Amino acid sequence: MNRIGKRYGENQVLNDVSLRVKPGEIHALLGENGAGKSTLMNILFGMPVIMETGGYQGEVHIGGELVHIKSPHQAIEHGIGMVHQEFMLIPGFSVTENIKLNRELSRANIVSRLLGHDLETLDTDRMTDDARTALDKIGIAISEAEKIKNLPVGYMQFVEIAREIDKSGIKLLVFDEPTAVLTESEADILIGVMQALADEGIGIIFITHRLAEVMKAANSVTVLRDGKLAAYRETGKTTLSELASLMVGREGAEAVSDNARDFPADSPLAMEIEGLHVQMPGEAVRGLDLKVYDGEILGIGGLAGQGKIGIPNGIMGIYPAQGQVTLFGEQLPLNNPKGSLKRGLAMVSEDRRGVGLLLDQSIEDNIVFSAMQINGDFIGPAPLRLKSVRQIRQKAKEMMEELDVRATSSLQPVGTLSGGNQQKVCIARALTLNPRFLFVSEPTRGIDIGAKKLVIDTLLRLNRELKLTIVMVSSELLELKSICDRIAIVTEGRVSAILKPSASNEDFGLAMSGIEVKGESA
Amino acid sequence: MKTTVSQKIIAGLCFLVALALVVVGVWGLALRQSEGTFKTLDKMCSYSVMSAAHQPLVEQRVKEASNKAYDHAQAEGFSRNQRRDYVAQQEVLAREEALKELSLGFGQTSPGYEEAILALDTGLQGYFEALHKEEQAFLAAKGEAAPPPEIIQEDAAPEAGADVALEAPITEDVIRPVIDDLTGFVPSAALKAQLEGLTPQADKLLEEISLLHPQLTTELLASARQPVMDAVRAKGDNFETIYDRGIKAGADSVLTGRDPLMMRMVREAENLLYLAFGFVVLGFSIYYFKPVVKRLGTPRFIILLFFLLLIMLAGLYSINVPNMITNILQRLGMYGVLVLAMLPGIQSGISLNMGMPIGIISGLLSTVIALEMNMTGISALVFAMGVGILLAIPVGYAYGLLLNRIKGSEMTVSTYVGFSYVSLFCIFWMLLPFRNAKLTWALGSGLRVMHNMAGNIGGLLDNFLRFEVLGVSVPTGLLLFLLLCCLIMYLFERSRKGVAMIAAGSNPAFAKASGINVDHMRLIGTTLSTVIASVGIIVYSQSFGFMSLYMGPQQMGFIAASAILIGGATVSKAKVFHVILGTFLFQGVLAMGIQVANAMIDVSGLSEVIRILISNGIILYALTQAGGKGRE
Repeated sequence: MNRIGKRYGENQVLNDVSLRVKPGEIHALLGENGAGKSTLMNILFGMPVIMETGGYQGEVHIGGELVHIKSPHQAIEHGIGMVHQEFMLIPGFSVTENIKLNRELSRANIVSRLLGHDLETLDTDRMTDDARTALDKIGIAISEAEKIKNLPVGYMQFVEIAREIDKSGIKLLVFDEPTAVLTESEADILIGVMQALADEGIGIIFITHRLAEVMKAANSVTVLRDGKLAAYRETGKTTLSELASLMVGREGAEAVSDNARDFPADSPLAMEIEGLHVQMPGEAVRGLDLKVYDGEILGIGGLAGQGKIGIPNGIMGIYPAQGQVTLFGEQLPLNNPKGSLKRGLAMVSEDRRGVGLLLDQSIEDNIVFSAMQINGDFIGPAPLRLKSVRQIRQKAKEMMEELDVRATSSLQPVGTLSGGNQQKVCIARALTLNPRFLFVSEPTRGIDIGAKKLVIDTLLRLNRELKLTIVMVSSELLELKSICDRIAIVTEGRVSAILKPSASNEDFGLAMSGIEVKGESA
Repeated sequence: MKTTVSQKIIAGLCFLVALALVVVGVWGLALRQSEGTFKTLDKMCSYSVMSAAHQPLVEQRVKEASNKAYDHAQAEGFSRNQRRDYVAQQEVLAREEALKELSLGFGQTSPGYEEAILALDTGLQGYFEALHKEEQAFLAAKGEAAPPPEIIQEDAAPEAGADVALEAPITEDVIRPVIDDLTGFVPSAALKAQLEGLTPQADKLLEEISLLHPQLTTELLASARQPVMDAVRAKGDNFETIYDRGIKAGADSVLTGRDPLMMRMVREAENLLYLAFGFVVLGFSIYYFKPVVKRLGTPRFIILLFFLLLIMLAGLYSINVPNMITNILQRLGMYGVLVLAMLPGIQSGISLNMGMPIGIISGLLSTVIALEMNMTGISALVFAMGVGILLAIPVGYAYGLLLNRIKGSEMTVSTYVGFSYVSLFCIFWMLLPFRNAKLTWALGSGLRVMHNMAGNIGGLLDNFLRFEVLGVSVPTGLLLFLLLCCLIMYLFERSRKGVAMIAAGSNPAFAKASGINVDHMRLIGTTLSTVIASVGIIVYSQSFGFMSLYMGPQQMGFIAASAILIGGATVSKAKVFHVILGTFLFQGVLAMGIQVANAMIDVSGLSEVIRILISNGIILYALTQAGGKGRE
């Protein structure tokens, strides 16, 4: 039924991707974060962001007919519906009202005859009937009069689905990670609903990270990787592991560095984490155990939202945390940023501009800030005890040379630096603390390729020369593979596997999908 | 940041024009002292005298023409309106004709006439010197010799000097050269007699005039005596006045050759110099446009230019510039410390501390306590500041605890906390058990609204090491105190705590990640702001000369906030430099703007309206500079 082939210009977020969905088919769309899934769906829906950035290349066909969708409204007219990841529902309205929002059925009355269509009376009975029919179709036994805010989270998803199928002439329905917030039994019901809808001849695009669900529900799969089409497979003719490696693997990515070293299980520990819980919105950690050997570079990978970023933020006391953390044999008090810093922990934050820097202050002030506050360095003699500009400038000069920070002078405000140079200033600030243990969170996010390599090389050098233990959290598996000794994959707030950098893409893919990997755990 | 070629050319042109203006202006000033100019000026003066002497004759002819026209109109049977118009028209024509005919003889002089003018002039000069002396003596006796450099009052009346005297109503033959001003000065009988004694000289002059112009009868001349004396007296005035009078009387017709142009140049010499100053400023601001704008930011650049424009206008309108600079310096010192109180608030992240009245009231309370104990002098000042600080610390701390609970809406809440606190203290001012009769209402209990600082702490800082230079009186002690406060803040900014506080204010997430207790830093900032405000109001009161309780402190927060914003601070970032620049610009523009506007719009009673317009205008402008950050 649909024959979609498009390219999306300029930045080449999508390059020559095709997607075909037959009527009555459940088609899974797989890919890592940033693989281009959202962009593809935005094109399909004619989201304004696409038009504003210069449109797209390629063609969209619906029912064999060439269409050019310019707005979400047109998308709806063409029979395309979407179930959003974040619920687009009004909590204070009833189920019926939400289903019928902006498509209300109405009767004419005296006022509306005078003043126009907008003032017609709502036909509550017919609306209730329609809502009931839609709910029945997906087999959900909730009252159509219930307010949305009183429903359990899982059911909101079903209201969204009901709303989409209530639209007449729906031909294609997109589910954007519908199972992310659902419990397992709810997810099963959902998959059942999807199958029922498919049986009625509606095409379904199912976006997910969970490979197991794909195998269970989908008829066919399209895998995207780095904005390119990685593969098209019939579910029947593929395996979990093949999909996993398709999702993760990159061409030329097999050049795993030979930096990795082996640490025997009885090596001295730098840090031991037991039962760590961190309440970081969107990155919650739920009972994580992890051991970090002294002097190693440990990578922490995993998909976005699984909790990998919550680990350093929790241990550094930035977000509320619970659990046991031992640092070099000493108990670490949690929820106490100063305490963590004083014990020789340092962190380069993933939120460079928000948490990592004082944007309107100078490079030198940024570099020495933490050391001055925590260790009392760079302070002049009593009685005034002012900051010592001479010492600060000298330290800043050293650091800028060592890390190759490009700036006019150490007095330049960091807000005016490029992303890469800002990141180096962040690293310089952490190093000025003379830490024993360094967390580096998403060090290469938002910086260009040259700067990426510099940052990675710097981390490697620090580890080898200063024997600094480094835990690097990153969404870029390739990056982790290039310098880490071991890589822990975090799924749903726990470590699902600890792998060697040389482990296969298949293993990484499976681990990211939350499937226990036996094999080569380090 | 390079200055472009066109900028250089335009700036160069400005400098050239300025140079030309300076040359012409200086030449003109030099010519004022030259013999030739004096002669020409004397000619113009004598012309004015002659014109004054002929005035009654002109009026007489006009009257005749008017009567004739009336009769004619009656005869023709005009309607009332027609008649009125016709008569008015004929009067104008007659006046023109008379002046045209008579003025031909205005330039005529005789040695006797010139001698007579000189004699009368000398006599009048002697009289006015004596008058001035007597007035000074009177004022000294009254205890306010030579009114001190016009303090500050926005509504201070513009000098009621010579202009008023000239237009003073003139009675039959008693001359009142100086109107009875507000000081209550009345010339003594001896002086009046001296003036009477000048009558023979005046009569001699009139006689000489009648010799020259026989058509002026004694009768006509008798009524011309007063205008003639006024015209002669004008000889003692400055160049501009004589020249302007001469021109008004039509004296340029007696000038020959290049004289009219030269005289005009001499007349405008000073104004040309002011204009040259303007062009120099314009040239510099074009040449250094980019670096200066980068350093100061566009708004400050605009305000600075406006400020310089006001100085130029002040010169053009002959406003006493040194007095004005004195005024601005004093305002700078007076408001500086209060504006400084905004600084730690902004730096610690509570944005503009609109709850400043909380600190101000602590300062007021401590001062009232000092007065209650009849303290005076330095000890009163030190006591007031010390107790003020001690009172401000706990209140500021408590206020800080409140602000920590309402993060994100500090500005709104603090404004209303300030208002409520002021109102709360309106009750306390009535109830607190003060007994000193100097402070309480004459009837009943409670503190009065205004308290005079004279005799206790008034002017203590202002007059410390006060000196005068080029007519500018510098309140050294006041400015030194402001600098001291700024220095302390500057040093604090560079201490470990200060660095941490600024970080907590500019990026709380960063500060938290660096192990800093953000709430604690906000408490420090709020307390510091409150303490500085309490000291600030004491400095303000001693300089202003009065202390105002009750609703007095309510608007202070707005004034201080506007000043620091004008200085270039934002609601999340500020430096000591912004405090000084902002106070200077705000108060400078306010003080000068009012004077200049008063001079330009010559309507009395408008000054209060203009004051409100300008000060609120600046506040409004300043708040637009705060940016949208306050809403985040």
